[in-house]
Amino acid sequence: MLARMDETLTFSDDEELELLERARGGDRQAFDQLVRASLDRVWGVVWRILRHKEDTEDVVQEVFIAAYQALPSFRGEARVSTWLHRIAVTRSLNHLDRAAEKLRRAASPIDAADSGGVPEDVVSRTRTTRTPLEDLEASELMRRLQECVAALPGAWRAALALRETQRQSYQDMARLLSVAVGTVRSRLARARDALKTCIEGPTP
Amino acid sequence: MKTRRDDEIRDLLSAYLDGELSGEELHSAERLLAEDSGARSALAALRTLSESLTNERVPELPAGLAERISDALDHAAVPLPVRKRPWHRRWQLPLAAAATFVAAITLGVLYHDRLVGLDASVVPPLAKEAPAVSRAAPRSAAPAKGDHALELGEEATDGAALETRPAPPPVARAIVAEKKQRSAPESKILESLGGARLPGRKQERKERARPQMAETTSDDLLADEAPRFDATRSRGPEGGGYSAPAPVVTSELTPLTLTWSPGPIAAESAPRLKESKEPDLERSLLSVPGDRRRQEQKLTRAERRFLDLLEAHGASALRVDGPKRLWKVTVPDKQRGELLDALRAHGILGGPQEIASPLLIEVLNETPQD
Repeated sequence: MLARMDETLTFSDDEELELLERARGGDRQAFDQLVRASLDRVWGVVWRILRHKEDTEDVVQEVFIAAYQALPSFRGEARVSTWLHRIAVTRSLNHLDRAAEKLRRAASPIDAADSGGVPEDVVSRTRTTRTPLEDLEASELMRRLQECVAALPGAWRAALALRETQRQSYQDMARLLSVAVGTVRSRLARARDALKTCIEGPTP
Repeated sequence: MKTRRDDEIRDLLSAYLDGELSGEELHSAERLLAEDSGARSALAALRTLSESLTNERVPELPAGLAERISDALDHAAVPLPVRKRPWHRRWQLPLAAAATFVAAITLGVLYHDRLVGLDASVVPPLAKEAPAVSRAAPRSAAPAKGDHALELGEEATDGAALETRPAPPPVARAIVAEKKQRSAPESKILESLGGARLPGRKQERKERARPQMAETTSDDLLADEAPRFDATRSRGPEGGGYSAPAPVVTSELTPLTLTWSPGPIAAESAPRLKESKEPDLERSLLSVPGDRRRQEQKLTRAERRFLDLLEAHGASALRVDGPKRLWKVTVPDKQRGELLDALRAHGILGGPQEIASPLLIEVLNETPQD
């Protein structure tokens, strides 16, 4: 099962289990193969939460190092990909929190994510953008979407990333994020509402 | 201005879009969509948004990232190899359970007649027909095996007061003794952690019935919930305090409490939060993702390693304000065993001391590896 480092690999469940066993036994090559098989997805999850390429690269590295070090305790009850997702989401949120703390210390005493409502910069954008969402050109919609998603609190972005791209159920998301199912539902609804308002502007 | 009803409709339509509604809620959503054109339009907008998010382009993987990760792994601390426990350790619990079962069956068979009450075949006719005579029977008459009439209300021959409190049957006595034995180490550990006493079942029932207290007590450290910020209390330089909130733990999450060896905890390192309208967001900020980095400078190396392991197992933790380094950990049930194994493998746990629910474990302050 030799492969080039930049090649993305896919494995069946059995192959994945076998690699996992070998990796747990100290086989670094086996772990490298697991890394390559899941790198794409981990990259996607982390990027959707962080929205910053360099930061994403740093966090993705952290994810795999953390996984490697926790390997002996992973008993394989969940799939490797699920396990890595969990680490990826947690690490990404940690990173955001660290960045927010730096920002808070450097500039503003106001922590937008803690305010409980839609962040102020999202609200301010809504005052200048009044085009209905459906009428937007696809490219314009995407541009605004990226801006508006980037302004959401990290916990909301994580919920959107898990739901919209990974198609995870509320139950799975709740387990992964260590919150109640009702919280997942509420976060998603609030995130979507904030995005909609941000992109198309408030209802007149 | 948005009303509560608007928020409910927002949540309902979002969950409808995700196919996460059932029963009455699903009917409500369908009714709403059938009757309200505004709701239909809102749902269409949500759908467009959802599709756009799904199709959003993610930047391509940077070239050579896999190699860089591999290099980083070369320099990362090597994980401890997985060691299988010796067979006698692995079979310890199942064997103990089997032995207990066999003992219970044996006791049940031996004392069946005593446990089921007065059986006509073993109770002397005199006792059944004339209890007053039986109470006056001489104590010197040795009780025959299974003679309940004598055991349950025998009077001394000299006419002393009646024994009003019957002695428990042997099985009951054994259970009481076992309970005493079991609770001894629990109390010891709790006492070593600051004198907290493990409440008895009666007291537990009382505690449950009693409304939540505003004051944080040692019992709060063992409670299911993370303390929540209470701006009305004043403690420490920030003027914040913590009180026990209403439980929000979901059924699939079981809290466990991890304790660190005593060490000073700086008041400013205690989690501080602003009041938020979303309690669970608040809760998540208190947990590992939100709280850890904020306090990282204050963490010992062992604590950082501990948090890394929690993170890898989807657990969240909160360091409880107080003189001891207490960590409240919430971990999904499925991950609980793995997490404990990991903590043991890394020398963070002093050994299994799983004695009560919530689980109470003593964690070593520094690991030999560090």
